[in-house]
Order: sequence, then structure tokens, then C-alpha cells
Amino acid sequence: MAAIALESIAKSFGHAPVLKGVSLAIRDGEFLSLVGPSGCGKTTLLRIIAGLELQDAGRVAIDARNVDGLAPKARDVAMVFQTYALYPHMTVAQNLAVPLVMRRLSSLQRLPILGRLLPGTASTRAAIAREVREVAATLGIGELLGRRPGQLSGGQRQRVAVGRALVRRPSVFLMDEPLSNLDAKLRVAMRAEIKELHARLGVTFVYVTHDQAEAMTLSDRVALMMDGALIQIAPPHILHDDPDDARVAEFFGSPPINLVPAATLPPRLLAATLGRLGFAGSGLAGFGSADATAGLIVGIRPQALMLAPAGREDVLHGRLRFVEHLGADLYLHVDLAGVARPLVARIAPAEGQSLRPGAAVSLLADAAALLLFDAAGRRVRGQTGDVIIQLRERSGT
Amino acid sequence: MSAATRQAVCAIARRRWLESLSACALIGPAMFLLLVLFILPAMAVLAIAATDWQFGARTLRFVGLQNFAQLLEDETFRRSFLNTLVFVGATVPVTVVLSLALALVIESGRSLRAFYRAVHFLPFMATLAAAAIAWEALLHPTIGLVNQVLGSFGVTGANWLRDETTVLPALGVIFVWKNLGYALILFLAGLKAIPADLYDAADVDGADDVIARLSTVTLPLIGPVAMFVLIVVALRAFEVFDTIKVLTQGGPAKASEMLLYTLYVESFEFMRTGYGAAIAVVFLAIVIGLTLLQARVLDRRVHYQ
Repeated sequence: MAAIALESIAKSFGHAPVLKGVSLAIRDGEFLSLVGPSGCGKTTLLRIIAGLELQDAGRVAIDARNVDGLAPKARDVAMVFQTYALYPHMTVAQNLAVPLVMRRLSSLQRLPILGRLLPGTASTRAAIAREVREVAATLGIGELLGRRPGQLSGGQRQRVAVGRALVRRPSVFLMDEPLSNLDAKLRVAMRAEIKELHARLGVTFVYVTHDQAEAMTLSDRVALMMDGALIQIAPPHILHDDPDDARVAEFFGSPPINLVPAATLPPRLLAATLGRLGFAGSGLAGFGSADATAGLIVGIRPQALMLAPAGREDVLHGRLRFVEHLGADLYLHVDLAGVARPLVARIAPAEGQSLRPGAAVSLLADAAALLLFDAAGRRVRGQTGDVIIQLRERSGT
Repeated sequence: MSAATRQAVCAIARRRWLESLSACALIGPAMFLLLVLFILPAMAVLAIAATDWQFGARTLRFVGLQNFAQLLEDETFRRSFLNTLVFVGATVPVTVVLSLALALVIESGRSLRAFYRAVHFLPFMATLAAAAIAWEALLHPTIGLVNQVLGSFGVTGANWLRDETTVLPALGVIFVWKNLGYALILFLAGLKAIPADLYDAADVDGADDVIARLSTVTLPLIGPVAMFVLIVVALRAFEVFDTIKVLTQGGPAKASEMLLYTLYVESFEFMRTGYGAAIAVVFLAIVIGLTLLQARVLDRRVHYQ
């Protein structure tokens, strides 16, 4: 049981800054995921919590205790590595026993033959063997105890790696992309097992992944990192529905959100969006016009787009580039005049059955679901005054 | 069988035949070289070992295993064989243990790694015949650096290369000096190949002092490399020749007589080619035995993953 507090952690490798002052409070018993593209510093942050890497600046506290000077073994953390890092020359049972052997037996007692003669060794070893069997049984690897890692499948190795972390009942579980070496089907199955494990143990989990689906399904809260900085930390549905930043909106959700310059949208659609945010009749003259909205970016989730019924004016006219069939959904990729990337719309298969590439399509956007961002990618929320000022600054008036 | 299937079967047979033909063509050149450079000479040695042929002689006589019987009686050969075993038994463990220890020290330090690697590898690059002459100067009983240094500490050094008790250890030191760098490089490569994740896991698991890291990760994972180094160094120790030829000629009183040198003397100085070939067969048996052992052990132990 432990909360983790990170205070302005900074780290560089050579001249390249990897972490630029990350502060993060992880609650006791929470499942927190660190996500981000490769190279964003999430693994480095995890290794700093573990004590495998030393930060250049900042403090790490586990359970309100400063652990900066402590070696990994003294921090009461366990870690599951991406490559599992099982000792290849040891059997599964020996692998699982290592953390206990290292903690409970003195270096003399660990000696191959002499150690067995020392008082207490035999009983301690017996206790360790019993605990190893228990952990193996809970993970369903009881019958593998005599095998070596080389004789196991990927999923089995993954279980052994989890078992080795589990066996000494740590207060913090650190996991570095533990599922990324598994095939897609196994990954989904193991995801559920990790979720159950967390529910059963109730200890703090810090989970690093680049897979947004993993982060969303497993976590109590998700922290999105980019370029060594924390962008937003929130529960998964907040990150998806109410992101603070265009990068957050882009990272979460599949297929990714459509980001479109406001100027290219039909005036009515834009007016409806702004109206929802409190702009209707606000006196901002010509608000639908191109120059006033030059810097604005509109985020439209694919599921907020639908095929428009005839006779509506606030629609997006485009040409269908291609269709992706995903069974339960159809993804329409639609080229819009003046927009570089095609818009993706997620619709029910029945609606788009007759559509062929090259066809003209009209899309209707759900104005209530649109997200507005300024040119720097910051979210523009519905405080009328702020947005007017921001927009005026941008248009130079 | 219908005509169509018969035709298909014929086509498959024809393709098989073409495939085996091209396979033969592809392995042909390598097979030819192997035959000419290795297999035929080895068979010739076996054949000559069963004769009393003398180098340059126009006639020879088949003598069966007589050469081998003579080897067992031959005091020089017995001495040579024993010397070789003692030499190998002493130098190989020293080389392997010392080079592994050095590799661990170099790998654990951060600075000057390339420098240390180069310094230790230099002797291996040197021509041994030339280096042997330098060693002769160093080991010279009166003006040699070794005895000068010992003398300044009040110790009287031996006549290293001319004393029956010191000549083998002196040659051993030269061998270790020469081969340490080679073994070291192999160990350094082996250490580099150990996944860093395993050390991290050991750290988290609590195996973070030097002894625990060595016994949990380093030594077990360097095992296959150590086995390889052991066999390669042993092969090199069995083949020791240059230093003996240049420095001692097997003396004094055959105290530094070793297999390959005896083979050389019998074959090319005494011109008893048949007898020399018999020694060559013994030598070949040892080398092949070691190589097979290496292949077996490595097959079993290398592939952890």
C-alpha cells in the first residue's frame, strides 16, 4: 500500500533532455498508466520510480517516504519488464524464488553447498518453496515450475514475470509495456488478467504503454506524456471526451479525431458550435468569416459525423476516398475541399452499404460533440470573453 | 494412374533431379577445396603414419601400427606428451580466469575501455617469433630486465630458459601474455551480449551486490562463452610451437619438448616422415576430440532462449 509522489523530475541523457520537470501524484491503490509515443520519457520515468535510473533533479517519494537515495530493492517496488528479463539458466521455480532468496537468506546461506549446512537455511528455503508454489498456483503456472524460460510460450513467460514481481508482495507494481511482446489475442486476454490482479491485490500499479486501448481499459487514471512533459492526467473517459490539448484528443480514440481548421467549415456548423459555447449573438461581428476564425482548429470525433439527410445546409461536402469495413463499423475516409487530411467518419454498416469510392458524400456533424482548439493546440472552452480575446489577438485587432 | 497424373509425377521427378544437380554445383567449389586442403592431406597423414617413409626417399614399406608402438616406447615422445599436458593444464585455467577477471574489471569501469582493450590485445597481434626474441632478451640471465629488477630487490633470478625447472613456467607465462588479450576480447563481447534488463531485474529482486550479481546473472550467462574460450585456448596451448623453436629447441634436456615441436623435429630434421606422421595422428586426435567436445557442449548450453 503506497502512494507515489513525483516532484519536478528532470533527466537528461547527455545533452538530450528526456524529462522536463514532471510532477505527478499517484494515489494509494490506484492503477495509473503512463502513455505516450515512443521516446516521450515514460519508461525513463518508470525506471526513476524503480530506482534503476537516477533523476538529475526532483524528488521521488513512496508512501510519504523520500526514496531518492535508496537502491531499488529498498524501495519495496516490483517491476515487470517488457522483455520479461527472466533468468534463462534458472527454472521457473528458481526464477520466482530469486526475490525471496535475496531478501531472506544471507550471502553465506546462499552458498551452494556450505549454505545448506548453516542453521535456518533449510526452513527458510522450505518456506520460500511453499510461497513460490502458491504464487504459481494463483497464476496457473503450477505445472511449469520445473521448466526453463526457453521452453515457455510468450504468455507463459509473461505470467512468470508477473509471478516474480508478485511473490514478495510489494506495495508498488511497476510494469513496462508488459504486453507488447504478445500477439493481439493474448494481449487482450492478459489485459483482463492484469485488471483482475489489480482488483485482487489492491496495491498501486504504474503501467507504461504506448497503446491507448490498453491504457484506457486498464486504468483508473491515465497520464499522457509527450516530449518529456506531462500533457494531461485524468480518468480515461475525460481524456477522450474533454481533453485539454489537441495532442491528447489525437492520441485517444480510434480512429483518431479529425482536426480541421475552422475556416474551412461551413459557417452554419461553426456558428452552431460557437453558439453552444456561448457565442451566439455575442457581438463578435462576422464570426463565421474566415479571418476571425483563422487560428481555430475544430476537433470532430469520427463517431460525431453521420451521413446527412437531403436538404440540410450545415453539411460538409466531400468525396469518398475509400471505405474501411470493420464488421460492426464502417470508416469512411472523405476528402474535403481545402483540408489536407481526409476526414474519417464512423458510421453503422447499414447506412454506408451502397457507397463507392469517388462518390460525393455529405456529412453532418454533431455540433454538441465538437471540440475547439487554438493554433497552439490548447483547448478553447466555453468562456466567451477568453475566446474573444484570444481570437482578436490572433487576427491582430 | 491417368496420363495427366503420370505426366505430373514425371515433371516433379525432373524438377527434383534438377534441384539436386544445382545443389551439387553450389557446394562443389567448397567441397573441392575442403577435399584438397583438408580431407586428402589428413588421409595422406593417416596413410604415411602406417609406413616407414623417410622424407625424400624413393621407396617405402608398409609397417602397420609399428610407428605407434614405437611412440609408446619413445622416451622423447612420452616426455613431450607429458610436457604438453602439464603446459595445457597450467596455462589454460590461468588464461581463462585471468581474462574473465580482467574483462569484468574493464567492463565495470566507464573510462578508457577502448584503451585497455587495445593494450591487452596488442600481444595477440604481435608476431610470436619476433616477440619471443624480445622475451629472450627480457629473460636473459645477466642483462635481462627481469633478473635486473629481481636483483634490485635482492632476489637472484634463475636462468629462466636454460633451467629444467623454470623453462616450462617461463614458456607458460609467454603463452598467457600472448593469449590473454584474445580471451579477453571474447569475454568482453560475451559480457556485452548479456541483456541489460537482466541486471535491472537483479537490482529490483535484490541481487545488487557484486557477488550476487555475478552469481545470478553474469557467470551463468557468460558460461557458454567461457566454454568456447576454454576450448579455443586449449587448442592454442596444444599447438604451441614458435616459442619453443625460437627460444629453447625443446631443451634443456627435453624439459620443454612439446608435441608439435617433436613432430617437427622428427619429420623435418630427422626426416622420419612416417614416424612424424604418427605423432601428427595423435595430435589430430586430440584436436578433433576437443573440437567435438566444444560442438557438443555448445550445442547444449548456448541456446538458453
